Formats: sequence, C-alpha cells, structure tokens
Amino acid sequence: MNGQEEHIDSAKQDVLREIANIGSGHAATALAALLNRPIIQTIPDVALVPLADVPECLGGPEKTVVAGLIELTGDVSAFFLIVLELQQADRIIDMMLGDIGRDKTGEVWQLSELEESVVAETANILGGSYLTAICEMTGLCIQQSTPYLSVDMVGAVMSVVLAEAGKTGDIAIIFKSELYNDDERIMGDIILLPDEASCGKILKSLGFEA
Amino acid sequence: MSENSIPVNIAMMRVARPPVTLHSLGLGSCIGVAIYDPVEKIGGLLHALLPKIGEFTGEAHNRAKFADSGIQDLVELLEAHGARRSRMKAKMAGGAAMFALRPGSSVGDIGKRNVESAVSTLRRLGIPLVAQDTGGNKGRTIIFDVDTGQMTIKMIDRAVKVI
Repeated sequence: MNGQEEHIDSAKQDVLREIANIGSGHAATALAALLNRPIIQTIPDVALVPLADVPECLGGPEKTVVAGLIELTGDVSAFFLIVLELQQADRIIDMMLGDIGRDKTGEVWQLSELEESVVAETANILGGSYLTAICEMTGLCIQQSTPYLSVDMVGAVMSVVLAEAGKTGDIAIIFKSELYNDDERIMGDIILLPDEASCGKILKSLGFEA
Repeated sequence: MSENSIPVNIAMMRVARPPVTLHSLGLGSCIGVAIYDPVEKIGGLLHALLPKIGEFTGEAHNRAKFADSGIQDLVELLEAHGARRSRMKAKMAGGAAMFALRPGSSVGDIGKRNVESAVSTLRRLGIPLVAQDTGGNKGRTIIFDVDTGQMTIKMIDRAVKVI
C-alpha cells in the first residue's frame, strides 16, 4: 500500500496475521450458525496503515458504506470500525431474514429498524470474534460496547475515530476478513484503531518491544 | 471534482484565487472553514480535526489539525497574500455527530466542540461568520468557490445545498 508498511517487520506481521486467522475463524463459525449456511474462510490479509490513508484503503473518502463502531475499553482504549459495502449488507440481511428479505424498493439506501439490528448483530459478532482472538493472544482484558451504526461516506465515519486517534496514535490495523458464501465475499473489513498507549500495550503483550 | 479544484485533506489548509476552487471530501465531525476576501478575490479552506491546540502539549503538532490554531494561521496566510482582515468573511460546514455514542464518550461531542472552537476563534479575530451548515449526523463534502464565496455542500441522499 505504501512505504509505512515496509517498516513492519515480518514477525509482527505474522502475529497480526495469526490474530486475523483466529478472529476470522471464530467469525466464520458464528456466522455459519447465525445465517444457517456454510461460510468458507480463506487466509485473511492484515495491514498496518497510517490513519490518514485509511479512507483510501476503503474505497475513497466519498464512498458510501455501512459502518459499525465498537468502543473497546479495559486494558486498552481503542475502536473497532467494521465496514460493509452496501451490497454486502444487503446480502447479509437477505440471508438472515430469509423470506422477508431486504426491502430494496426505496430510492434511497436505508435500513429499517429490523435490518439495522441485523447489521448491528453481524458487526457485534465480527467484533467479538476478533476481540476474543486478541484477548487470547495478548492476555489483555478488554470489553466491547454494542455497535453504533452509521450509513455514510467513509471519510465522515472515519473522522470520529481519527479525532480520537489524532490525539496520540497514528496507525490503524486493517483486517481484511475473507469470509465467503457461494464464492461471494460476504463480510467487509474490520479495522482496529488503538490509541498510542494501547497500540504499544498490545504489541508488548504479544512479545514485541513497542 | 474538476481539475481546477484543490483537495484539502484532514489537517490541511490551502489558499487559492479564482478560477480555482477548494474542496474537502467526506467531512464528518471535522470542520471545514472557508475564509475569503471578496475584494482581493482570494480565499482559503481549512480542514480541522480537533477543536483546540491548547488541549495538547508535548511534541510539535500540525497546527492545521486544530480549529483554533488553523483559523489563526489561515487568516495570517491570507494576509500574507494580500487579503485584508477587515474585509474577510467566513463560512463553515461539518461538525456532525456520526455515531450516537454513549454519553461521556471522549469523542461523542467532538463535532460540536469543533464548531464551538471555530465560532469563538472567528469572533476573537473579528471575522464575521456569514453562513454555516453544521451539526446533524450526516457527512458532508464541501466545495468552496473563491470567486463567488459560495460553499456547496453535498450529503448522501440529500439535495445539494449552497450557502
């Protein structure tokens, strides 16, 4: 993606990939049960990206997405941002609601209350899966909030997180979840955004000097 | 966006003369402050992330990251390019609350605080805020036309607004 990534040594990359692997495995199991269909997991990709470059990695600042924000507290202070493309959200809602399906009649892409809770629950599962993986690997004790949803431009949803991280941290960890149903990638990206102290704490708990 | 438009990303400010326009994509809780001198026909846009530089100590900060220091610097930069403070006007947009975060969250009211900081800084510098479109819970893309002093605001699923 850019020069910043070159500074991350491969050992760190391996550990992050292992977190992604475990997290994505948990998520696949949970989603398969929830959606009642096979979910196939391929090797997830993971990247450390400077905060300012995150919108570009997600398709540009003006792209409309469904975003779930989960606040992490406890041993670390961080956010999970779960980003779904509109079609991915459509697909998940269709699968979860079955016959009721997604109401696509409106001109404007919006979510009914029921659909919103479907998306929130999916974000919750994905966040919880990755959080469990992080806690297992680091031994840190972290709690997660319920997800807050927003359907808006990538740049706009990122700004809240940037404001928090703008105080200290400068790096985001992007897990590209690779969960498929019938060759269709159904899950979006999950981004871990720790503040600077928390980033150090996570890396230290994994056995690296921050 | 046309070729004659300069992007102003987070923690940046840019000054331009007609026919160039300035734009910021996907403002959420950030604030876009445009200041211009309609006589000298010069204007600038600031894209600030946080309210006040004074809340942060320690290492050197990018002053354009903050509404207060950013506005101060933008005014001085415009003056250096021939604008007069007495003629300057300001317009701004942004400062939304993108997520309904729990009360007490450190970032829950960041948009509102950005707006407040910008308003008080402009007042302190004696620059009239002639129009604004702030708050709410939707992201905005803004385009500032230095020639006309018009700020065009685009939101998803909403009609384009000009202030």
